[in-house]
Amino acid sequence: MATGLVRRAFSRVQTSPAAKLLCIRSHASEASAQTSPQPTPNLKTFQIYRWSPDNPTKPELKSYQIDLKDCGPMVLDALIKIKNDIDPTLTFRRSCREGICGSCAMNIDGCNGLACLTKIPPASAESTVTPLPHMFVVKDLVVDMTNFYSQYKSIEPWLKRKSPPEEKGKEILQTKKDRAKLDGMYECILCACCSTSCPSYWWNPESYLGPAALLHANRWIMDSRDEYTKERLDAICDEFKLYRCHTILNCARACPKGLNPGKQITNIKQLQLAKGI
Amino acid sequence: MGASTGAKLSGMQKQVLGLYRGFLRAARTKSPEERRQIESIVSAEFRRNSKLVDRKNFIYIEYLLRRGKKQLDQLSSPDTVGLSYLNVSNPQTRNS
Amino acid sequence: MASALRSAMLRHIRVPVTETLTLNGSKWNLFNNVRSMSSHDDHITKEEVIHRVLDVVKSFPKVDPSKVGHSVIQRCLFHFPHPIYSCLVAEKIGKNVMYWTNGGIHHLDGNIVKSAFSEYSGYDPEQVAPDVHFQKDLGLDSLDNVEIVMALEEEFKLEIPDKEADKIDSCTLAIEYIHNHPMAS
Repeated sequence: MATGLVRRAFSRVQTSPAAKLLCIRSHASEASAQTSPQPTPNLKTFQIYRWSPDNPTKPELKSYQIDLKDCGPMVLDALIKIKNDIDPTLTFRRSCREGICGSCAMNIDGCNGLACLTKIPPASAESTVTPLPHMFVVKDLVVDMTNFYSQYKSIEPWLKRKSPPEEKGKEILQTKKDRAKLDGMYECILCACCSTSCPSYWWNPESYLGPAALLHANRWIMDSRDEYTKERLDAICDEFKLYRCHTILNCARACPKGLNPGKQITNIKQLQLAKGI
Repeated sequence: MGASTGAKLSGMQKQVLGLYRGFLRAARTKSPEERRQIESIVSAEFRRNSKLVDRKNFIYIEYLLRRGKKQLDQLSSPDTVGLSYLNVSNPQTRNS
Repeated sequence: MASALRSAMLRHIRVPVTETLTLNGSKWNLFNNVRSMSSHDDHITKEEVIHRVLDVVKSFPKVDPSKVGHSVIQRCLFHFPHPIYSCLVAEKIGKNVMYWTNGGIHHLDGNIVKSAFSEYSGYDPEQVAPDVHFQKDLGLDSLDNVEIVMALEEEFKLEIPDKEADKIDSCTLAIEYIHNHPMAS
């Protein structure tokens, strides 16, 4: 039985280098299984949120048990293993498996994070995997990001200039110091972990822009090359859009990239104050 | 949904009817031929769901409303000329 | 006997006859005293509205046109604007009629109602705005209801906001809404 599972995993994941490594290991275990008794499996149970529009009954937590000895170290590895070996209908977003695409954001044991960057907790306890909180579910762990993206769009996340570049056809240069101002912001991958962990965003998901969009607003406000700083500040100077941030700072706790959106929002608030004076 | 004759409509029923109205409005902006096609597809879909969907399954109705809203947004774009659908039946997905 | 009943009934329905006669001479002013004063000169008449609304409803694919016509006789509900007595409701024009007063329930011969009504209101009961309920009388569902209202929108070149459109569920309400709409054409 176990070898059957391993073989199947082998045939499916032969493209990625990490999977190749896994295959070699599994080959080794297969070979050793013939001589010595099978190693005791390290079984862990995952409770995973399931809901599908094709069979629209009530959403439920479904249990899946996998052997951690036969699985990669991250939660995403476990999900892929469950999908490959146990239940192919399990649906989740994933792409880069190295924390740069932001696709696999979900709630793991009560904390928002990227499944590919979250280590599987020890097998002694069950783990619960649910979609990002307070988001509309499309299917299983896939949530509807429409509102989140439209809010990002609303802050006009692109370089806006009033004057053409000094030399026609050349880039607009920036000093190292000015460039350093964007550190802590440009790294954001828009995974929505921060916004969906923010209680204020839960209550006003449409009117409050949320930490992710505001962090990006500040990224363009602070950009030395952008010439619409004042207009950008005016556009978000709103009781709801900006000032629903009550510095709860769940955003900083949740960010899988180690950023602090709360700090950037504070920066916008300070600029608004300075503008007023 | 269809059962309530004369009774006051619930908020969700109003949303559904509003969405249907939105589709019919969007259909008006297309060519006469496409308009007929859109109207028949949309009408069939709404009627099918009004019979199939349990009226207390709010999660699913809300899901359908959101999906419909997105489809309506796409249809409303002047670049969209028509609407067609494909009947896909995949028995494998029903194993869950 | 009949004349006694007739006078009994006429005492109950005190229709504002004088107003009716002074305002444009239109028989529809009976129910639309206030509205007719605010309506435009080039505004379409209520008769035209009724005619066209009924045409739209009759031509709706799922509607049996005879049902709409039939209902004109069958389910004409008149709400008499009488301040003292609860309103008199005629179920069948030209047939048996029941009406309620605070004295109890009374029965009247249809012909008396018909003649009394036309005499005092100045219009022909056969042309009464029929209270045809789209869902109850024509067996339509709420989606058909939306379609009919949309068809009426096109006929009168209007855009009825969702909030209002949800309320229109009968010919009477449709006629009333369209007649009061300044942009209807």
